[in-house]
Amino acid sequence: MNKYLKNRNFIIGFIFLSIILILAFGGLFFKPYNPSQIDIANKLQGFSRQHILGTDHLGRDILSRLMVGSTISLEIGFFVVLFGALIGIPIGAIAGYYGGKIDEIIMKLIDTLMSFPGVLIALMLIAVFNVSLSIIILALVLIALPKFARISRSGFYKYRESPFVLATKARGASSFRIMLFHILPHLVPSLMVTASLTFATAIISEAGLSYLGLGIQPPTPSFGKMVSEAQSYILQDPLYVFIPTLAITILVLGFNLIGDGIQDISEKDKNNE
Amino acid sequence: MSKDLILEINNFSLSFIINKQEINAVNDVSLKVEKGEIVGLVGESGCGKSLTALSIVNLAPQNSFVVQGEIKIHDENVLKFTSKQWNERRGNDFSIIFQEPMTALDPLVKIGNQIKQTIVIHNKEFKKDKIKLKQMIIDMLISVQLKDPELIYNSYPHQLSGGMRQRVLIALALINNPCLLVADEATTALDVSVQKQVLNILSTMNKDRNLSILFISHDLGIVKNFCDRIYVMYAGAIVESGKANDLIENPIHPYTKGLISSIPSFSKRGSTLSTIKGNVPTLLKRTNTGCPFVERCLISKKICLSEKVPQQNYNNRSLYCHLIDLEKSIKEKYDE
Amino acid sequence: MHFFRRKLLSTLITLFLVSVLTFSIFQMLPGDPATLILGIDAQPSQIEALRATMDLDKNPVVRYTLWATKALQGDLGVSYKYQRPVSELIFSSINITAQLATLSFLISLLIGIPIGILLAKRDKKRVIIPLSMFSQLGMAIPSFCVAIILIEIFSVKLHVLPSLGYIPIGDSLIGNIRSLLLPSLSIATGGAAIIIRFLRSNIISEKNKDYVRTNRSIGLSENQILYTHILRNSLIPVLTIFGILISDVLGGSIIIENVFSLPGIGKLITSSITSRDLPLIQALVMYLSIIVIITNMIVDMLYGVIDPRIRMSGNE
Repeated sequence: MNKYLKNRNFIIGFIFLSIILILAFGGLFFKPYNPSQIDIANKLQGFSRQHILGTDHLGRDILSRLMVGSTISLEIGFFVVLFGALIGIPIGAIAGYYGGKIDEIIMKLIDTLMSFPGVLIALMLIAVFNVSLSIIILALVLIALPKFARISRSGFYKYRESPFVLATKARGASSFRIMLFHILPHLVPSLMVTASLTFATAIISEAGLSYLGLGIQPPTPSFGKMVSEAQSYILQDPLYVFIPTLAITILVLGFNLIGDGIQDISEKDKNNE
Repeated sequence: MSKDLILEINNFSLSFIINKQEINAVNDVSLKVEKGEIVGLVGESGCGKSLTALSIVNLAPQNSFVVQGEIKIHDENVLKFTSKQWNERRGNDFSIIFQEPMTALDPLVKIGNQIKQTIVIHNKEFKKDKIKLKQMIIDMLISVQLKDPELIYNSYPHQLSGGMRQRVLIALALINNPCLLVADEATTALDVSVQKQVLNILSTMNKDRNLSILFISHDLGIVKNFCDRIYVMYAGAIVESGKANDLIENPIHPYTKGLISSIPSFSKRGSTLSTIKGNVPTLLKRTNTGCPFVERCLISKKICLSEKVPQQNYNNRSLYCHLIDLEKSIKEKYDE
Repeated sequence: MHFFRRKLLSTLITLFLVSVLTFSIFQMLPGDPATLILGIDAQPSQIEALRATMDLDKNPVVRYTLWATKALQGDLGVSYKYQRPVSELIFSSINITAQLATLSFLISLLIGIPIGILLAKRDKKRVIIPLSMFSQLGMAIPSFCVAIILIEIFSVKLHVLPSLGYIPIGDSLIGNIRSLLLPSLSIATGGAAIIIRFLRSNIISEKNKDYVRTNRSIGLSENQILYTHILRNSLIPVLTIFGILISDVLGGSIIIENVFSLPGIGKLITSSITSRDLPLIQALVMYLSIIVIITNMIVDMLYGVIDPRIRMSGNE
């Protein structure tokens, strides 16, 4: 753990992420206001004692909306990474470990999935099945899954003929055992990097969809929707658009930096070996 | 100072900075290479011979620094060179070839063009004369005994075998007719038959162009027949030097003795090979008090642990060993 | 040449798979498409007739074949909403998206490559920290947020560039570029950041290669080595991310066209989703994916042209 605390990228990333985590978890227990409560009389107020981050164009409390928005972003990111990894890693493992025809077929399918621009998969699914949280997560999983599969494949491919794997094989261990206990542990750092970058991408994509009105539906607040609502009031209240923008940026930056940090550390470990 | 002295290293020491700690890697090394001479520098891996070689051309790793001493080429202390001077001289007055020929060439540039670049950066006047340039390169490729030089000229590195690439690298190093070639384990990565051919090329270059060669190798078997003189290095310091044949046939320093008795040879067939016990101490474990070889020496005495070894001349040999005095006195006694 | 033929074949397979996937997803539509179009009040006979024209009464394989054959002939169906052939709609708006994508791509190269080199050289300490912060931020800020920041600066505060609308090249070249400048800058930021990071780490790892040492040993200066050897070797891997970049740029333009109200493919796609204009969406998804796949193929082939090792690997 000590080596993580010494890495600047990891520390800064962790601090950024903590800001949003505090907002999100804090919001679960305490919110200053009901995030959907409209109060036109007090719209577009700047920072004040009543409303720490001000109010939006309908007089709703921005801090409370930000808290709910953080929870939603983190929730989506979490499920996307979870399912993306759970499906992608085994697929890549099979392709990389067995190689040959299976590898070719699996990777061709993965490449096919990758050749859709990410947003397009989401838009296509939304068009067919209508917007819902599960469809958004499904779409983002489809975008994330190939990344996990590729990283996992290249890792398993690299290690499948390494001396320690051959030695374990010679002792009669099953393929499943070898993959799970002898190869997978070596891939943890690179998969963690992928997980943290995928988390970031999922958050950006969700924000983009919500910005277009094709993501999280009102009245539930989300970062993307907040930006698009605030955009029209850029003249009256420039800070209003700045707050959700900052929130997304901090969150994404946090995950990117954590990913960079893990990468730095695993490279250093490799050089020291 | 002799006019024929090409390379002269005097009391050269090099250290690394690792985790803010200064760690000595080359310790008080002195050696000379005269015009037209082939000099071997031998020792096990990790003994500092490659670092010494790299220092001659200023390519030692970035976290290393010169502690003391001088490296003179043609009586000029190269350690005082600016980076501009280095760029003017490297590949022009002196060159180096390395161990690993497979990765030593830019994979995207044709052989001919890589050599061309080397000529042009040192001789701007050839830039326009395309025909002359090409002729020079083809001639050079022929003189490193590459068959079908036209084809090689237009090939990419990945199309050539390791031996061919090493010849190309020799061509690259010698195209501007330098007076000194440093060959850093240049034949180590090659097959035995290719090794012979490369040595043959170097030997021809040495005779035809009066090229001086500093030949770094861990393989005493090769060095014996190829070099005129040999320096034996151990744990960053030179322990013994002398004429090649004499030194190999009649080693004095315990380390040299150990090295030579571990060369496999036809005459020793059937008997077990003797090896030197233990390993070269890692950089961190070295102390510069006493003899560097003391830990592995079979005949070490108390004095070897505590006192710095002086250089001594004995039977045309330059030696660093406390016990030589002992041996001398024994011999003297018996002779009386 | 073997290498190029293999790439072409692989691309054709991908195209086929993408079309099957797209087709199948649109078959999963909950409910009956004919009812969806005509509404629940429609006469059963009307619905039957529409089902027949849409080939809904045939089995999926036959329908796919019919759809694919028509698509290959340029017939992508008719938009429900506009009642015009989908291909017509696409061609009237592709121009803007193509311009936007090209401009964004060029800008990201123009920003990304020099900064990537500068950061890898590590000698100008004063610019390194702000520039690496720029590349970190560029990756983290979503393009539409960049767009709004740019609008705030250049349109609201400085009044130098328009915040919405598109001026065709025919009307005014300068007007055209002005109308596309902020949108393409917004899209390019992310791409530039990716190029910077990728190129920087490539150059740094390339610097440790043996051939660089050889080049030093024959007297090349650090700059000569960087520009005549390292850069080429480090830019080749950058080509591999061109596919990702193109995909990003197209994805980005879907969102950014909506920010700046540019009537391109992106705007068309979002409005077709809002109105559930399925033939149009299906065609647009296919169309954009094909663009990405073809660029990927071109990139792969370029890779072969530039790197002799790859080009020749097919011949061995």
